Amino acid sequence: MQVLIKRDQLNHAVQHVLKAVSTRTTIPILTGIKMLVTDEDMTLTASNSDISIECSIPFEEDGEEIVNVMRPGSIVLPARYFGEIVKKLPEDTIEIDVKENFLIQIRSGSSEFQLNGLDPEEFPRLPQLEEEKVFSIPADILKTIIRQTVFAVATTETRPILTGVRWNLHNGSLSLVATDSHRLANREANVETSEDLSFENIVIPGKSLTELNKILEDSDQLVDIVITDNQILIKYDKVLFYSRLLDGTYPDTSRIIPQSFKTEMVLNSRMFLQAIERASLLAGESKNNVVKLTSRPGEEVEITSNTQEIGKVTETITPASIQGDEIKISFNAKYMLEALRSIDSDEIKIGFTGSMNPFIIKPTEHDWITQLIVPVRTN
Amino acid sequence: MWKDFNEQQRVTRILQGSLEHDRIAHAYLFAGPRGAGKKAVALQLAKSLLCRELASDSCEACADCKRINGGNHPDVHLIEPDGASIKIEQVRNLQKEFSYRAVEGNRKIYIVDHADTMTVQAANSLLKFLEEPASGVTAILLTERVHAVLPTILSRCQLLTFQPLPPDKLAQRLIEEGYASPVARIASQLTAGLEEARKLCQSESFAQLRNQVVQLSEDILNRGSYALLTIQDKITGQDNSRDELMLVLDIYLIWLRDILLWQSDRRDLIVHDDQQDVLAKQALRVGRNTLLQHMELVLETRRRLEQNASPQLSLERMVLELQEG
Amino acid sequence: MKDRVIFLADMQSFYASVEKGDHPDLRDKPVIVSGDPERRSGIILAACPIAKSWGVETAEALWQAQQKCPHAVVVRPRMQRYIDVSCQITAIFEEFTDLVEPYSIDEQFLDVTGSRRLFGDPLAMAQKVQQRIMEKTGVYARIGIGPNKVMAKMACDNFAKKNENGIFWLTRDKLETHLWPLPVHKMFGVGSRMKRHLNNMGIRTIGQLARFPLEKLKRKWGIPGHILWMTANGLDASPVTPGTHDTQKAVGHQMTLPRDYADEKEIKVVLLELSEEVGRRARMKGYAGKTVAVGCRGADFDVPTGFYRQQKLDEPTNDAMDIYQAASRLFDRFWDRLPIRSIGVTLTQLQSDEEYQLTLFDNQYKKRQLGHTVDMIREKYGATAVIRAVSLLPAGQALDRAEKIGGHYK
Repeated sequence: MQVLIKRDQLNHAVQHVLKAVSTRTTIPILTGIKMLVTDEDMTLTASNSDISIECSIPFEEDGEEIVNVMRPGSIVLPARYFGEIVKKLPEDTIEIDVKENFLIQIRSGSSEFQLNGLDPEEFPRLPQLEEEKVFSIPADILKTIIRQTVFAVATTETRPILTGVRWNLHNGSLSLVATDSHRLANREANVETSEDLSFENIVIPGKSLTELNKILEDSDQLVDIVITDNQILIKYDKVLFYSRLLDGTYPDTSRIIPQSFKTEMVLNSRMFLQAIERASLLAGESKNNVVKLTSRPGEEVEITSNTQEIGKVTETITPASIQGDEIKISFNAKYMLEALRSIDSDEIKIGFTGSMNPFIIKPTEHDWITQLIVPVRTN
Repeated sequence: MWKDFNEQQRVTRILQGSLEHDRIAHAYLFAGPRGAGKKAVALQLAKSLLCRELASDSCEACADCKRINGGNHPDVHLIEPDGASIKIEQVRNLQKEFSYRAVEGNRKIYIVDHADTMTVQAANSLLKFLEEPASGVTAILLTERVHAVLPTILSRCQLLTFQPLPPDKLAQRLIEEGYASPVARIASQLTAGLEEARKLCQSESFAQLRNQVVQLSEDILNRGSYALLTIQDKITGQDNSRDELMLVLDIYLIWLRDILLWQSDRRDLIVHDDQQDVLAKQALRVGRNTLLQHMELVLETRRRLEQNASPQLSLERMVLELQEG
Repeated sequence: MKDRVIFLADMQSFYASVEKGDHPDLRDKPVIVSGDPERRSGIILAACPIAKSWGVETAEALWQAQQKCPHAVVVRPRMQRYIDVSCQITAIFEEFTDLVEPYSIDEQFLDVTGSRRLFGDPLAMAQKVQQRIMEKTGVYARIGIGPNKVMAKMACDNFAKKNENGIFWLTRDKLETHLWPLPVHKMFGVGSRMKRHLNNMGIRTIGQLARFPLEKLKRKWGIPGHILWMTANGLDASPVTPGTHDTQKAVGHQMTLPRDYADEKEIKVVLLELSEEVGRRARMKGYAGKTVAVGCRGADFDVPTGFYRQQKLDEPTNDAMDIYQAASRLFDRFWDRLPIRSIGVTLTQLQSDEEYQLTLFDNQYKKRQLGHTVDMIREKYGATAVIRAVSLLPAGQALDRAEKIGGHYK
């Protein structure tokens, strides 16, 4: 393999894939970045086995030549050193030349490095993008639906499956669910797909999705997604992002979300959020971060928090509408704040079915998102 | 490839059979002495399960086979003692790994080398694993000390016992590793396992001791007093330890047996195969009965040394008695 | 710090005295309180002064005691009764001061500094206390008086118990004359091992320890060394804290098994029973805990085996099965498979049970309701009215234990 390449574009791609290089691994090959050069394109790939990132470098950009292939081939470069070297090379153009026994020569101006590479054959095989299994969604929407669900995944390993976000796809409708068993986030979105494509119980680690969101930008460019037996593959611009899937069966959440309510109210999101924030100033001291919401028909909604040693806070808020029974319910303020922040809507609707049962929060404008919170029981 | 494994045929036949009938157990425990090829067979099993070219064997050419050989397969996990033992964190990492689906295929394999060195916590954690086997996961535990493995672990694994290598296989291995053929052959006669035999080959005095034995045997047959001098000068006088003197006697025994073998025309079994001329000459000079007598005398002397008799006296006595016979 | 007036009241042969108080016919007989002679806990828990005059000692084996004193009356311990009497005595103390700290079942500290104006000088007050207890319970109390807790304790152990009237006031000026000449192991806090260490350093009397360079002691033992030196010099600032035993940090239950348990299944039965009991106690006190700990020991206490380990839970709980599952996980992980003779389960990081987060996949509320219901049934119909089926297995201890407190019959 021998190739001439512009430093800035190479550096850009290297920094992208470095996010997936594992620092601690028992598998030697994963400390490297795989570089593949064919007559058509050039890609860099890195993997920590949980996530993998592949980034392609175009041969030409805006009429300027980026890559000049003298001899196609592939090599695995030691990631840590290569990343630093590329950043610091003196000239705009870098020549990478792979000799016998995976010996790599890097030249740029007066500088010449020799690095020991690894056999590219040893690198993990990543699934290929199969056109007929693809569904697509704009990048900004994908980013949003991930943000609106991923915060609710479990952080403890007691039930590993709950550390992921469950994806289902039916009739062109993608449904994401995350829960740590104290609250649940549900988000639906329409995707572009061939009509017969469907799947369920695909559970993607929350950590992977958080990483993915760092790469995605707020653009309406379409992202292609493929689910294989082992991995999810997301193609965005020049980047291919892979994540392994969690193994096991996600609990059935379909019957958990209540459909009819004993008490319903509509509140101004911002005012409600701020009231909860203030109330939680005192609630923060107690273990469950508890605030209490009380409402009687025709009266203002009251939010209180009471910590014996510190004091008491009472917030009142006038609902835009309220109907049904009176309600008195306690919940963890942190869960409420996170749920409210995830809903981008001026007004929200809250539906209760009793002080011991989960309640839901939805935007008034649409039905795409449902946040559910399990209350705290108090005597 | 399985055909390359001709040393542990009982074990490899069982495994090949299971592979062909798709009856691979969830967990295996390979037990046997060091050097018996446990790890190689474990890796062979892993390759046979993951090889993309062959159904129940390894092709050694596909990416899966190559990566297993290189330690780079993302779905094959090898756990070895971290220091003196296998720690709970190592098993925990494995557990985390197994909450995910496999990276590539639908099969995950983990190999635990020196499974007997797991700490109590590590062993107990692994036990949970073995109790609730996940589909597509194969565990291969290796140990040299099967009795040190928790019985509860033992009972959840299919136990395959590896035999120690027979001396000729052992010698062959050592010769392949580059040791001189006679030294390798003698060492494999005198030891039980590869590691021990290799150590013997590597010791500086071993080759020398062998030469002294050849010299001694000549001197004894020549019936002069040279033999006593040889003893004094080359053997007891050289600050040789009792263990080394025992070794001298052991080598001498093999020497005497070689003469017997020569006489019985079983030259293929001769250990000191580089000394055929000397052996041939001595074989003509000593009768079979005398040889057996000599061997008995050597064994007798060895017993004396074991019982802490004076080395010099014992050896001198032996020489005199040998020369009488 | 201004000197206070502290009492340490010690109940003479407490269990035996309670038995004699309850059974006047035993008054002039040698009485021994002993665990069940058929079980390994057949040791002497208490002996009355008459039995002691025959050479009977506490903690020796029953058969040994019976050899020395064949006509002794052996009584099974009734722990609940002793606890009740102990509380009764606390109530009597509280007539004199509100600062009463039960130190053990038969020893209590009283801070009477502020009570002198009401009840007169300390010696007279001590006599009154003594009388009241004798009248109400038939138990003879010995009272050590001192300017702080350690002095009161040493006054009681070394002097009041030997005095005719059972009262001794160890004032500061008596420190040098009375306490210091005593051998060092007579000091509070010095056991046989510590005595050996001190003797090796040439320290044989409490006075020698008091005058030993503090720095050397600190270097050798750190803070415990400092405390030893302070005790020898009669210094102690710790207050008498009422209800020390109430502010609970943990709810635990431990038992010594009647034989070695080596089978995992059998141990799990006991573990479940312990978890059940810990859950019950936590519910009774209105606590839920976030950490579960398990400890166990082998039969041979000279060759210590076993472990003590804890694990944090995702949710605070007082449910028996939750506790059991955590305990079981810990046990699975840390048990070295050697037989065990004693095992305990503890719930710590306690918080109020009044408020708890409900969860989606696990009905916390129902679990707690169930626990409380079982508690109520047991309270009304007895501890064995509802038991787990596994407790009927030979390994089970619940039925047997239900008749005991602290391993002894009620």
